[in-house]
Amino acid sequence: MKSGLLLLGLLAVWMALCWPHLQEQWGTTGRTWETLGSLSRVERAAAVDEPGYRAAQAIARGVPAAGCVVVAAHTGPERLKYYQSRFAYYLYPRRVRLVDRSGAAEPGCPYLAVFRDLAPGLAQDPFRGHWDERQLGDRTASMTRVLAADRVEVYR
Amino acid sequence: MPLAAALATLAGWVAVGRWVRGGWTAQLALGFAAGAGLISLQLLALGLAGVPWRPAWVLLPWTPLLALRLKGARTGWPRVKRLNGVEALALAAALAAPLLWLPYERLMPLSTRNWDSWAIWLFKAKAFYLDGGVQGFFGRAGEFPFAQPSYPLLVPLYGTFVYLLTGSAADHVAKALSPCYFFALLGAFYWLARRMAPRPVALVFLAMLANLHMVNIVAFELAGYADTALSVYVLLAAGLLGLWWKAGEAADLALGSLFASLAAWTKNEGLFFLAGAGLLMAARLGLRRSLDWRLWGAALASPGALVALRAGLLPASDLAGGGLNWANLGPGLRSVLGHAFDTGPYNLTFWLLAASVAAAWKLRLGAGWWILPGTVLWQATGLLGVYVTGRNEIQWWIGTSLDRILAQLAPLALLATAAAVGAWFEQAASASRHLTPPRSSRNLKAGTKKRA
Repeated sequence: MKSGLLLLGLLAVWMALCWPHLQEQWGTTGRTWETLGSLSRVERAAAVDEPGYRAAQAIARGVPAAGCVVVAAHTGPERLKYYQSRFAYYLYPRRVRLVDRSGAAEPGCPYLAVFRDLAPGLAQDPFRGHWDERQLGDRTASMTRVLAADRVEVYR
Repeated sequence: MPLAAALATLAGWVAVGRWVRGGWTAQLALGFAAGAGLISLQLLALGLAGVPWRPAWVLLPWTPLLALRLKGARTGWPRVKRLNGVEALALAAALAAPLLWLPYERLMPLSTRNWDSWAIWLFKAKAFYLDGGVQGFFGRAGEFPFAQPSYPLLVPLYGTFVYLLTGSAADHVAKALSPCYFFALLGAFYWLARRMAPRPVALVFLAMLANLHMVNIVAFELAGYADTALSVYVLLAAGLLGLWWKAGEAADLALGSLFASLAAWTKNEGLFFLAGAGLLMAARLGLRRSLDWRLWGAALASPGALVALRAGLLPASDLAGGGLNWANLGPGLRSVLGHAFDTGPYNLTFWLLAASVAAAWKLRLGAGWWILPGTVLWQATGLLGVYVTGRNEIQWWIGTSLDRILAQLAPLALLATAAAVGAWFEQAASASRHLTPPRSSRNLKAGTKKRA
């Protein structure tokens, strides 16, 4: 009897300390259900990884699985690291190299993707690479545009 | 994922079920934990032997073994035991956090918060699946430094198995492995706690573990990480080795050794844990001057195989090797203690562990119990060692690793406390039995008979 009360007391104290977390999770699960519940899996992935997911899907459509692509990314240095690993994940087994220079090229890598990050991302992590729109225009003019999507173009 | 989890559980049950002395909860939990690990090793062996990864090839060897196992198995539905008020309340409380977290985890895709899932663990799972083997990824490992090629492969290869069954690299399916391990953690915890303490204690502590915030975060928010899997293996190995130390049952030794090895096949912290477990097993057998080759084999076969496999397959870890930086020790220790005793993420877990150490000292609990807090201390020391020898910036490292590592150890800390509480209740009950004068010589006789 005494041990039962002691255990109940311990459980009550424990659950009281848990309560704020449980309440918070109740709210989070409810909000997530409202925002994502009616979306398809693809739409959910795009919603939580904007613009990376859609950009990677576009590149995947333009570059064959055995292909190699240099992604000239107009984004900040921290986000460049993020996109490097994210695009490598989405685009495997393609060889993907992200650079924050508009003139970058790699021998044996015939595809070029031009990716432009969203303004909030750039405000958070400003661009610090080298970007020359005219030079990029001249370069892509001599290539074939494979596809153009929101925030990304793929050339060969 | 339900199919992958069921197949892993069956494989694990076939492999270790006969040594698990427990009900269906224990069989399911230990079956899944053992099965996921063994299937990952099987995939690796098939891949290295050049056998194509097809579900049929993976499942084929298990089929005759399952038939043999079913032949000797008990049949019938599991019995549902009657619970008293405290037990029923504890069981209901144990459902609270999992019921809130599970729908959230199922809705969320891999997001920016799941960095290690897609950059490390499920990246490799996807690469292995698309390449049809492990060599393709390791041949290109230099391209993916963020994917930590030196990390062990249990979670990636089990993820590959999930993809083989799904027929595509569907990461929303594979990331359910973390909730699966979470439920295995609860089952394993209850089984061990029940072997060390009365049922009400085991159920109350089960409810406490199920609602532990940081353990919930790691299992559901960081789904796809390997930390919950490691928690299961460390808990099982330390708990079983503690029981073996106390009672000397060879089955506990063999299972403890297997789970310690699977810990080393899950994460690098598990390798350090395996070193401690290996020392512990060798010390016990050495102290007993045991020359029984079966015991030595049970203790050392799977750790030896795992260490050889890791050394032969994986590149050397680049985590350490920056030289000793003792200046990191102070901030590291302060952070470990500050985080562990923060009631927000860990509730009273480590406070109760400290209290139970004091109580165990007073209750004169045996070495089998001290293995549990000793393992927590060993792993925390290993973490500090990494902070001191590592080359990463200490605050960044603490920020990205400490909470998850303490969450790996929290179940073990709670198990130690549950065992100490169980021993305390037992000693108190035994003392009150001795203090109560017998009503008659007939009662005394009956009481003596009952105790015997």
